[in-house]
Parts: sequence; C-alpha cells; structure tokens
Amino acid sequence: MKLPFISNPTLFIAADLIYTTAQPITAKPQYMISPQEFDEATLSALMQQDDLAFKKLVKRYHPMLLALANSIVGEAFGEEVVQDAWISIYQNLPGFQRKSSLKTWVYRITSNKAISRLRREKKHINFSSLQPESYDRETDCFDASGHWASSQAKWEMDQPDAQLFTQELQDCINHVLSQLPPLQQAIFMMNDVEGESSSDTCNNLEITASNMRVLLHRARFKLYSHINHFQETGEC
Amino acid sequence: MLKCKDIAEQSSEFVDQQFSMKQKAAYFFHLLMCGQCRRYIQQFRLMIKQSKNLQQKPISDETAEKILQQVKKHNK
Repeated sequence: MKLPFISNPTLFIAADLIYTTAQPITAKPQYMISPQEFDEATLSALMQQDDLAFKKLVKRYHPMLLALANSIVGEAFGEEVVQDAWISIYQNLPGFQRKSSLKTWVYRITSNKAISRLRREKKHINFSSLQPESYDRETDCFDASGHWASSQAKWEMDQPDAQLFTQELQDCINHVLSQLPPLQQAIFMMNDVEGESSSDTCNNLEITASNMRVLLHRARFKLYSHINHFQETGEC
Repeated sequence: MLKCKDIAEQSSEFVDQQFSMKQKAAYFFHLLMCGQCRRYIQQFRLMIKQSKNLQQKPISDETAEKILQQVKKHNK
C-alpha cells in the first residue's frame, strides 16, 4: 500500500516502511496444506501405519527432528534419539487423537525422547556445549561510533514479492544453517521456517522466552549477514 | 538516541512487534533519519518473511526406507 499524500521522498519511504513493518509476518509455508500438514487421506493412512504415508512423514520431518534432538542432547546422540522417536511415533500413530497438529505431536514426542536421553546421559555430556550462548554484539558490522561500518547492499529483487531465495542462495543458507550452534538452528527452523509459535518452540526446547528471543536474533542476524554478502559478491 | 548498532540488535523485537510505544517511537525516529537502517530493516524483514519458503535439504528415499525398516523391525 502506498501513501500518495506524502511528497518528500525520505518521509514517503519512512511512512511506507512504518506501514509495512506494522503488519505481522503471518504467511504460511507454501508447501503446507492447511489446517494439517497432510491431507485427510494421508493422515488416515498414517494412522493405519501405511508404509508409503509413513515414509512421506519421515521425509517431511526427519531433518527438523534431527535439528531439534541435536539442540537438546547434542550431535553425539541426536540420530539415536530421532530413531527412538520414529519408533514411538509409528507405534502411537493409530491412537493419534488430533488434539494438536501432527507436526506439534511429532515434535513433542521427539523433544520428550531427547530430554529423557539427556537426563540419562548427563554424566557423560559436556553441558557447557549445550547451554544457550551469551549474546555477542555484532561488533564487526559497526564502527566505534555505532554506525554501520559499510553500506548495506541493496538486494537484487525484480519486484517486491519476488522469490528471494534462488536455488544457489538457498544452498548457501542451508550451509550457513548447518554451521549454526544446534540450539540456534533448531530455534530458527521451528520459529521462522516451520512457523511454530514462540511458546511451542520454548516448550519443545525447554528454554525461556528471553533465551529464545536472543538466540533467534543471533541466528537471523548471521543469516542476514551471509545473504548480504551473497548479494554483494555472489559468493556464499 | 539510538545508534545503527541498536537498530540491528533490536531488529527482531521490532519485526516481531514486541516494542512498547515509546521504544517504537525511538526506533522509527532513527529509521526516519537513517537510510542504511531503513534498507537493513526492510531486507531483514523480507528475509524472515521468505524463510517460511525455505526448503530444507530433503533426505533420500533410501534413508526414509531404512528408517521405516528399522521402525518395523523394532515393532515386531
């Protein structure tokens, strides 16, 4: 929406920005089928432990469940935890009561498995590697006076709604995501990619809302910096 | 008055609409004065919006089949 009554270009841009930033970001992922991630036929097949439907479920959620498990119990046990979670999910599918979305149910089973495993293994795990990190200010991007150290690249977009993530950039983002600390990765994936609510993300990861906000911002800013670099240089 | 660094550090709170009116006013005042931060916040917001379209690296059919077989073996 444009505001034609403002003639000064700076004021116009600022007013337009104020309008657009006042709108909540609510768009759902394009690949999701509302209100469930799977259609009724697939859901029924899943509840009957159908092989094809179950493989579809595995393909859809395995990367996310692995990120979730890694963030709680560490990469040493993540794969095992997710395997245990898939066993529980398979066994309990016939009794899935649809009180929550399938996605939330699957996440909850996995986080419960990971938390149980964490308690069991806590003697052997280096907890310092699992704790939320302290917040490092993004000092490299700013000069001593707190201004941007370099200009912000203008991202190449043919039109405002154009797809930002080309395949090349998407590969770069996936690479950057894989390099993030597990907890940051899981928070970003659950909150920004999967569209889980903040409270569900906190519950699944057993972290406080303030920790979640700090770590989410760190993940977002790192991704932003990499996208900016990609837009400037064409390199990841 | 907020600096560019503050704008970046508070950008998630701003985009997620967790500001009080007073914080919002200070933030907008800086944006009004600073083109670099206006560009930053527009692109930062765009990134978050489009993250919902980010395709996760899929696992292969073979991996999915392997998981299914392990699950079924355990379930016997």
